[in-house]
Amino acid sequence: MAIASASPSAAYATAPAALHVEHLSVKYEDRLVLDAVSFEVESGALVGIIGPNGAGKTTLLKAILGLTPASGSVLVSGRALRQRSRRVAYVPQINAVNWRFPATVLDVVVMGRTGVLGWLRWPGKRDRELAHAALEQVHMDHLAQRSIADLSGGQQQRVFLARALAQEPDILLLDEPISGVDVPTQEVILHLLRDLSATGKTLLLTTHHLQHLEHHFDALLCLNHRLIAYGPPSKVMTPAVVEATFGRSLVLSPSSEQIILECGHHDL
Amino acid sequence: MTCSGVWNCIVVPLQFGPTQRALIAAILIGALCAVIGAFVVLQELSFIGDALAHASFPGVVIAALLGFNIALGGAIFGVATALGVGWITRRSKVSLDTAIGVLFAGMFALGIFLLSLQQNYIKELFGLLLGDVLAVQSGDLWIICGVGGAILLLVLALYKELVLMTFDPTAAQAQGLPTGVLHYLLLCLMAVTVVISIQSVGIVLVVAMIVTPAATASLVVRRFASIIVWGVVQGIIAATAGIYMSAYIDGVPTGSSIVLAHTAMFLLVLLVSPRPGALGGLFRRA
Repeated sequence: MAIASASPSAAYATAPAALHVEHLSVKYEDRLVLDAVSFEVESGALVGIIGPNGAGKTTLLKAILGLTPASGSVLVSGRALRQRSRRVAYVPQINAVNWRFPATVLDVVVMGRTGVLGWLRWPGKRDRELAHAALEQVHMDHLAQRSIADLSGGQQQRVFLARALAQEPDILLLDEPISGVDVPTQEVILHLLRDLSATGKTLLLTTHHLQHLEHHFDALLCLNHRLIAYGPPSKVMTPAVVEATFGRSLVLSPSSEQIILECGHHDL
Repeated sequence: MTCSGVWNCIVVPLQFGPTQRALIAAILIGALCAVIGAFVVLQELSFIGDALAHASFPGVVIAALLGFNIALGGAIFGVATALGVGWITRRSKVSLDTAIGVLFAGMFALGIFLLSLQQNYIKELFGLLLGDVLAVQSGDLWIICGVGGAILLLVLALYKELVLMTFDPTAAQAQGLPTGVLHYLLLCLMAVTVVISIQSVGIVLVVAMIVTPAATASLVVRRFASIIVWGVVQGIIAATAGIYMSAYIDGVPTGSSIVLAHTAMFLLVLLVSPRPGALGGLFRRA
């Protein structure tokens, strides 16, 4: 399979891509969850990974991070991930953390420094400053001393984004960052992500909120165990691709400039 | 034991060497259990902790019969059982909690069987099941200090890693931490804490020493470090109250009185907890 590329221009063609994924496959027992997925992401791009539930979206993020046994290769700025793991940050789904754990917002963001600091070193003044700066980037610094459990879902999502930023990564992988929050909050988060990509961070996120696709993303990656299509939203979102990705329960209807997707069930 | 006046009542038990040693041992163990307990409660490992205590029983019995250190015998069987649980779950479809249930009851039964081969074993059995901190010798005290100190140093050295793993294991893994190693290390630290505590509070009640301080703290505090601090303070209070209760009420085992002090504090805090909905918070987002 040829490597699909979402290069915004050919000018970067000589530099290694921010993220290069080749023939990434994941098997759970005898089931092939990811089937030889290959793609490249240029530095500063905001990429949405879409697909139905169980299509392997989260598995793709975890395979890129090396959290799940996978075959294939992942290169970060041309080097193996193992040498660059500090440069890649992960933002989990907010329900994936232990909500019994008592912590302030600042405590959580400072945790982003754990891997960077390394063994036997305690977070110091510089780490707390980085944490505050990260919180300011997501407009949450005024809540630094609040208990994380007392925040709304959207605020918690922004705290986890700040924790990832405190790691000072080049690439952020976000698992469903706009799920479980209301539409205005989704807009806030997507604008934050857009701002981050403008500062040169490369972002990949999984989502099943199809109504935001058109104007927020540089590229869409349609996944259903294998890579169905990858490229700018306007090129990717054709009826054939959508049907191959989501199956026939989905109706594609062009409405004014935007493509609106209606689904047969609410789960998407 | 009798006394007159408050000061006299405080001083009288401390005139006896066994009570002095018991108080020091109970305080050290109470504090140690509370530190480990903060991680155990938040990672929901209480059941495994209880199982480890019961599984160490045959080792404790064999060591007691042969005159070795009972903590060492208990540790060997506790760790062996933990490995056995891993072995069973890997080679069969038996779930983790079932494998633990099977093995810990089986090991406990083995301990009772071995002990019952002795004459007059009922008294011995009670001693091991319920603990007797008043029987602590100065040699035991040094073991508690040494092993407990080593555990606390390890927790301190790996604090930020253990904290991240407790709050968000996936992020810990994504940041490059060896979460599997850390998980087994925490289980080992818990197993060692359990066995060096058995002499004071006994096999049946040791889990309360670990779980109750952190459970009480989590009703009130807003930061993880505060759970540890609160737990240590509560551990010291319960140890002291328990030793005095046992000194003044004839025949009350120290394990029972210390754990009762912990339970009373938990219930008290539950009733007067300043945070509205603190009780609900225990179950929220389970």
